[in-house]
Amino acid sequence: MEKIQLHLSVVNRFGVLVRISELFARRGFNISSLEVHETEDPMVSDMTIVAYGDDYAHTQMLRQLGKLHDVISID
Amino acid sequence: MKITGSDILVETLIEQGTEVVFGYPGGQVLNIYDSLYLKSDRIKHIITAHEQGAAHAADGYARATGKVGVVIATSGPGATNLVTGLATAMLDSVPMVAITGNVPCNLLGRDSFQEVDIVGITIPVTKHNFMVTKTEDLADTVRQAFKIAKSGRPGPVLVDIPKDVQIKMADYEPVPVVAPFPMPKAEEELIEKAAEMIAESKKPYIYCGGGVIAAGAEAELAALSEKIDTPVGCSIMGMTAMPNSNPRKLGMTGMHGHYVASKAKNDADLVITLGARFSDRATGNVGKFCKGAKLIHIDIDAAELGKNVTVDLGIRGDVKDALTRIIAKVAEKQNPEWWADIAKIKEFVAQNEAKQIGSLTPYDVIETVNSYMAPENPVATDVGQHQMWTAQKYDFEKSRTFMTSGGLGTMGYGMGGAIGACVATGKRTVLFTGDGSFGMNLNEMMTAVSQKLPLIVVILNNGVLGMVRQWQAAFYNHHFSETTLNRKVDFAALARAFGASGFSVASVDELNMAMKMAMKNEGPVLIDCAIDMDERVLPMIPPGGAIENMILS
Repeated sequence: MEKIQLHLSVVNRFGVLVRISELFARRGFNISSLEVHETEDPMVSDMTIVAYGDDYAHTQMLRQLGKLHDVISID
Repeated sequence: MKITGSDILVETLIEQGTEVVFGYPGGQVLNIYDSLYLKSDRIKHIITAHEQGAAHAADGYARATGKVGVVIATSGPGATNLVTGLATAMLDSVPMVAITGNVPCNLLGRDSFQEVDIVGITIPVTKHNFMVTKTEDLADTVRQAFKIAKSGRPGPVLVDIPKDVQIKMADYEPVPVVAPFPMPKAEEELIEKAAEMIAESKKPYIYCGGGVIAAGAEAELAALSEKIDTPVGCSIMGMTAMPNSNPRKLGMTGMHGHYVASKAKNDADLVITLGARFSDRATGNVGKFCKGAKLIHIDIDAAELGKNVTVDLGIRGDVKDALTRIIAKVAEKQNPEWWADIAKIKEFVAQNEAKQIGSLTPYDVIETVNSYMAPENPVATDVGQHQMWTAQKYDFEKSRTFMTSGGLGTMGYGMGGAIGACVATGKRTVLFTGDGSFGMNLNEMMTAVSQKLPLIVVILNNGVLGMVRQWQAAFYNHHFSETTLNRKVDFAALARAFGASGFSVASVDELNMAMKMAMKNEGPVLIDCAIDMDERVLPMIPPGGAIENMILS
């Protein structure tokens, strides 16, 4: 199990956090820590998620998050 | 010009090409229904018996046409009744837009009458969903919903509209039908690698799923299989991607698939998978799945590559585009030895095929009904043994003629799915169902009657929940827990009570007589076919098993 750190730009709107946390829950990935804050652009929030998993989990997290329409970018 | 939110909604649906919506009125969609009433010359609404039926009908409409199916329901229970329909569409990648009403914005979050957080509830069963809180945003949100529903890997999108948003006025200007997001194209390097792997293979096999149909790549599938001389197997979702009359098609693979299709896939040295997602029902034990083969997987959804099965070459991209480029790259080849192997498997199957019992067997029913149907007649099923028998025996010839819940396995899908397909095509439609599945949503017979639909409901009636019973017999010591129904329903009489025609049959002759009557009938007909409760679906790969565990007879 490796530490996986994900940095996301997401739409700053009600319900977006639920979509992201629900995706982790549905796929059986535990979020170890989570930080969300507004950016200079009031439409956009930055999110940092830390989770533990193998390469498979890491790839799935990136690709499944990539399908969410409220996720602007991931790195 | 300023118009009301409900008028904006209906105008936007029309503007986006919607000709028919399925739904059910209620308190928080009264304004939408008033707009539908006033615009009924431009958009047709079909009222079902239950919102679940409306959701499945929108799904059946979308599967039959490739267009976005639209369903409308009121808040609260109306909205929650859509959930199974949305999940069914999500698992099978069906483009749908669901519109729900909700309580006015100032009553949201107060547990108001018929208030439910349908956006929260449907997050896992939709591609995306929206709540619209300003009438100014309504038209663009609905357009976005259509765009998401039909882009890439299609799926359902829900738009929740509080009542005050429907009432307030805003500007509306029509726009053209929104185009899908641009399709990602496969990287050239990967296409070249695929072509190399094909050139090296001696026993290539193409495995196609619903993605081939969604991509409209049926012709490219046929062309590639021709050029590199491969057999073709399919998942249940990919059933109509290639006509059964094409000698390259071996049929459905997986738990209850055609033995030759599963065995040849297992024996292949290269399996080219197109728009399929390796569900557990299709693969069996993934550790033993296609052990001797290299796997190429082409899919529009990157998350599917390597999700269920580790592949040698995963290619993200539009299947149609990828196939076109691979066809151009590969040299023509012939694999006579491989086909000789397959001929041997076919011979083995012919000698070992399970015999069905009873005076009217399930295969008799499907073949007899099939003989009255043209290739373009849609066929729907519910879920269970009858569904597998249909997938095994019905002669599918045209793309988009098979409406069946493959991923979610929704008993009760069939009536709605058949109604949607029938409305979409205007063609006589057959539903193969079981007495268990039909019992779940038989209320939709009312819809078939009110719409005068040329629908033939064929019940394979064994008085038990046959698929569960089959598992109980095989794996639970014949403990038939709650699968023997002891119901005394006269389905033919029930059909007549609904205002349809109904027949009960127990032999092929009687079924032929009923079918002759049914073919002359303009409205819905139900044919209740008595079959034996101990008929099994064979072959069968037990859950978690592999090809060598396949039970043939």
